[in-house]
Amino acid sequence: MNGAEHPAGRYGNPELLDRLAAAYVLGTLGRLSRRRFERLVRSREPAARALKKWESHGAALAAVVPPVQPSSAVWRGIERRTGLGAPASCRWAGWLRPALGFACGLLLTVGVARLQPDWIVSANLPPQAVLPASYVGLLTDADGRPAALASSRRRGADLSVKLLQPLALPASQVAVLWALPKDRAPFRLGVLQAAPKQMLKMSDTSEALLSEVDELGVSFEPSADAAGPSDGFVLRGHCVKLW
Amino acid sequence: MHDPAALDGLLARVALRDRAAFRQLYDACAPQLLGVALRLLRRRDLAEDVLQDAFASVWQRAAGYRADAGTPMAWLTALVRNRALDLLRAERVRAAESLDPADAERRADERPDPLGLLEQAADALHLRRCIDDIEGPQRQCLALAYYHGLSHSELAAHLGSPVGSVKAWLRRGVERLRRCLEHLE
Repeated sequence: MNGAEHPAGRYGNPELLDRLAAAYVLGTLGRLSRRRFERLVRSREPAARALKKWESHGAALAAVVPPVQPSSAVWRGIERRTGLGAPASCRWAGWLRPALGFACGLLLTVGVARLQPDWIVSANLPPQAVLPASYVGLLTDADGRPAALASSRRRGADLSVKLLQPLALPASQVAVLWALPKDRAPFRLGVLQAAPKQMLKMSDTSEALLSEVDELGVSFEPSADAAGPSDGFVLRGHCVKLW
Repeated sequence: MHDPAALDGLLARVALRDRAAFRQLYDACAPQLLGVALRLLRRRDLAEDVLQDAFASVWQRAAGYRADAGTPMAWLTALVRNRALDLLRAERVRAAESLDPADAERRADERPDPLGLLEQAADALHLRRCIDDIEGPQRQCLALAYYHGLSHSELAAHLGSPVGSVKAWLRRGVERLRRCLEHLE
């Protein structure tokens, strides 16, 4: 058999990839084989192509399954998990909701920055070194309660984070802080620790990274190097440029 | 009903964090996707959890969807089916180890014969003759695996046949199905 093996190794064989993709889509691969094939798809374009073809076939077979109307609780759960529902303090009906939701979050953020400057400016720094934060983000939990405050100077690469309530971090997960730009996918700012006050080192200045960012979010991830948030945000809030 | 171009447009807007587009995408696709999850999982609570989980992930990952990676409905169906299959395997392990009579009741399968669905799909795709040519046991294995999510050992128990025969039927059935579906490309 070895003599007939494809030059790119076992997984270079298009027929084998096709059979694996078919078994993956049909659901007959065991759990470990499924994970192995998913890794293969991520690393090899021919495997991804074979999977794409079988996913299209699968969708054609699934199209005849009778539809079932979901209960309204499903959409409410999606809103809660993605942070799309208006915070409790900002529940307004109809078309006013998006505008007022934004205004409430913004006012809350600016209000906190003005009324509680000690939440933002590090108490450990000498007074002459203290300059006002330029970018401030106030993250709230699912019930709209302030949960974390992030701030950074415009030309600084340090992001100061204060947890206003403890993070309920599940076992073997990490809390990742994300920036949510207006028109791009979220990108990672760093990993939050349990400490009430902490400093994250960003990859660039806040002016470079945050000027197009509307919101910040925190999600729980299995590892610190997650490429994107894998699930809903547990904390989320507006990010504004103040000074 | 699921116009790929319209769904492509909605997904592109979801990637730009357009909430109205996200709701439209949900309204257009959620019933079909819940039907798929419910057929595999048989429990509405679990199927709705899977649907919720899949759409939360769509909101986060819509930017990662590429139009050249298949139709939006194929992408969404795979997202829901993969989650449902993982949950199904985990739930079956849990139920098999459970002494709760409610679990035994849930194991009794009252869903209609999945062969009927495969035949409907064949008709819809104008492949009836090709799929009817697949031998009976192979066709039954394919239908039970795809629509009910049965594993090799479950198929063997369901059909009263050795696991080895089931694997052979599936392998040949997939090959025949592949040849039938190639006509769609």
